[in-house]
Amino acid sequence: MDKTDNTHDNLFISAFGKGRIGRRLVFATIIFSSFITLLTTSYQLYSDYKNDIAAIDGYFELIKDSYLESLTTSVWMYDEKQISTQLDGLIKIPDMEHLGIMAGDDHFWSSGSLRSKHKITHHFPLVFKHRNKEFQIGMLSATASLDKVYNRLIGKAFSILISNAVRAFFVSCFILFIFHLLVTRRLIRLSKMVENIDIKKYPIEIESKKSKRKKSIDEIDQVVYALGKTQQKLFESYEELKQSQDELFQIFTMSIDLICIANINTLTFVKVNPAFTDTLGFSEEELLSKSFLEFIHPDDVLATQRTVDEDLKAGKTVLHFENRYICKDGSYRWFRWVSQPLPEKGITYAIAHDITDLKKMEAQLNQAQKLESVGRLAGGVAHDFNNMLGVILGHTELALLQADENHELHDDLNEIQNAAKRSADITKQLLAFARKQTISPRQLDLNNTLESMLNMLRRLIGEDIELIWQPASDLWPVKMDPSQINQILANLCVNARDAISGVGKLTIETGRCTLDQEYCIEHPDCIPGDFVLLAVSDNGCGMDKDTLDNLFEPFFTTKEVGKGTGLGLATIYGIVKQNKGFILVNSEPGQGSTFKIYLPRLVADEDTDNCQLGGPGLSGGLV
Amino acid sequence: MNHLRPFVFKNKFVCFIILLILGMSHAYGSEHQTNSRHVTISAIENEQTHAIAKHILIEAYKHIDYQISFDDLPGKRALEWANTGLTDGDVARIEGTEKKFTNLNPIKIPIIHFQGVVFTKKINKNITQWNDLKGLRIGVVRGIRYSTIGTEGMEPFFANDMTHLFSILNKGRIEVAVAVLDAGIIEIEKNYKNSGIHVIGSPLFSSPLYHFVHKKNIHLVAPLEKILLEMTSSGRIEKLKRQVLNQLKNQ
Repeated sequence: MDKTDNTHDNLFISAFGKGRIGRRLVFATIIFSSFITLLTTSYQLYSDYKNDIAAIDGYFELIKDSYLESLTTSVWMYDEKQISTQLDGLIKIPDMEHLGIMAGDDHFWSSGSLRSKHKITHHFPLVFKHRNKEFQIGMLSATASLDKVYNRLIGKAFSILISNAVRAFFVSCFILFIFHLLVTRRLIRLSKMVENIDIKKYPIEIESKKSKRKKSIDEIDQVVYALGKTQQKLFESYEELKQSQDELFQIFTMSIDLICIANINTLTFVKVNPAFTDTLGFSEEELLSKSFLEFIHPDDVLATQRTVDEDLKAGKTVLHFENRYICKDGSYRWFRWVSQPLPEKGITYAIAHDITDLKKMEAQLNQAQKLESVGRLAGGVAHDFNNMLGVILGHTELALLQADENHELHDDLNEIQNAAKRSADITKQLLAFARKQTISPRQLDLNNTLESMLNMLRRLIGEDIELIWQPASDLWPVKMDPSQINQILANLCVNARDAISGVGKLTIETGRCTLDQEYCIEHPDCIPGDFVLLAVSDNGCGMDKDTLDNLFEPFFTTKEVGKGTGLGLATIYGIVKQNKGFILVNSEPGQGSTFKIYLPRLVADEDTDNCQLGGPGLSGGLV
Repeated sequence: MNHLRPFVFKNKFVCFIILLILGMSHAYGSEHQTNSRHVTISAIENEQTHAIAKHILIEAYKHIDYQISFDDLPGKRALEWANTGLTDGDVARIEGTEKKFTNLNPIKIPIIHFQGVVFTKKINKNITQWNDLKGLRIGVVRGIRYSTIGTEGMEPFFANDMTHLFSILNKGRIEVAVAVLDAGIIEIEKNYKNSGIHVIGSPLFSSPLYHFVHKKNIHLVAPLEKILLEMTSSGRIEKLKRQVLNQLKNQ
């Protein structure tokens, strides 16, 4: 047998295999045929039964019409021989089994015997007319056997069923063969070709073997055509889906926003995008292995849990929900969430935007606004107060001219004058903070200005603290009142001195720096452009966050009462702002502090070099 | 289910038949009881002996102030009806009939004597006893007890009546016929004068015949015995017998 025959046989076997259409068709045909056979046979047998019963009834009628009168006469005559003869004749009627005549109590004649299980008995009264009156002289009982009828019907039923079974078998085989030729063989070939369809590839022709003799299109041809169309649409849909999936994957992987799928029942991440791991620092495995509540700031856990329970599980879209997630380095980042839940699947799709910088900007803005308002207030008060101090000082000097050293009021007037001068100094600092200080800005080389101050600064900080001076070369010029540089450095060095207990180190360095737009976006206090950097660092006790938050507020001080006015840094802030610069402070408790003051370059050339500090070890930190 | 129908109605039908029979017998009896001085007596149809006896009974009943009518029936049925009470009695039967038909009471005065002889057309044999009939095709009248008893085991042909008996004897269907001598002579005289039918041998049976009444009419026994005894003593019965025989022969 060649391969083709083998294939054909396999196809035939598989067409008749368990659960196949052919097998079911044959089974259904046999069942239906059997049912119809049973139905028709039953009807036929019932009809035959009725006919047989009708025939038996006919025999009874025959007895009644043809024999009853002569039998009656014989009984009237007690002609026993005649009676026996007649009964023996009647018993030969088909299916007649027993005939009996009862005439009174003493006379009984019979023919045949009652053997059958099923029988019909008719009783005929023997009525004789005598002297114009009718006398019943006996009763004829005729019994016909139904066993013969039943046996005939059973034999007939058996014969019909056998013949119909044979017929059904051959018809079923023929139907199976034809069905196999026309349908199942092609369906199997079709299914094998459909199995080989790869939707990733361009559609192929599904059924190429088509009989040349065949001109019309049948149902399977239509299925083949429909499958071809479906294959084409499937391919196109796959391509579209693939493209869409690629796009979504790109968005998912490239998004700087955090995208995730989370299970709202187990409160775990199901899938996170790379931005998640990049932002938080945790690996994907770490993020997926724990409840996301464990990554949330303790102060935000309750609100997050409530949002999940009340909104997400109820199918509500969550917009602008904010919470903080811990990063691997222990810091927290603010996120603003948009989440679309699918409660029936127990998941939610969520996108988080990192608003940590925004939060910082908001805080800084608030701080700036606060300082601005405080500055305005302080400036207004200081201005009026300064005028009144001028009056006090003027009149005090006039009074001292009239009261010599021996005058009893001379010492009091001196005290008043000293207090007024100290008040004037404070007022001057307040005016500096409020940027209402009267200044005379001019072009300065910061290195030269600072060098001229070094001796004064060394005396100011004392011998235990080493002053390191690291000027940058080719420093850009700035336009500023030199006295303000003096104020800035004096205040910073005093603060540094107070922060260093015992031996320490104070570094003053200069540099030039160009800040671009990108840097300024990350550091909201900064302004793009060229700046001259003045950095003052110490290795003192450093500052905590609360101190940093209130650092530039006037009258805020960490020093003991009476040792500081709380106006030093506020004055520096005001001076720097007055000169359109900005300050960055980097400090941690125990790690010392660095104040970076950026003063705008006096535009004399277009040099755009990046930050170049005069000395090593300093890098800007933003507060 | 036609075959079940008879079973279903069987009991009803039997009840109906029983009621019908009872109703008919009641009606029949009622007919006779409507006139308490009237009796209907069973008689064998076409039987000459009974024809003679009828005339004797008519006169006897007349003497006791009873009207009498006769119901001519086949021999056996005549006796059956008389015994079952469908009639009031039987015209004349041999002695001992009351032993089998226990409802009948004999009037112990014979009303007629008869002789059972053998008639033949072709047989030439001296027949003096019943066993002489063996081997022959015998005919008797159905319901005649003496001939029935005498020919028992000889498979006789039972004729319906005397006319029937002599008809089949004449046609050769039977070789011999056992019948009452007087009745046979009358039958030959009337219908078979030149047929060659004749009596052979000596009488096989000879007995007086007695009138029987049903037990319901037992009150008639005594008066009938009395009157029949008077008629016998006076020779009235013999006279009537001769008159009737002559009439029958001349009919």
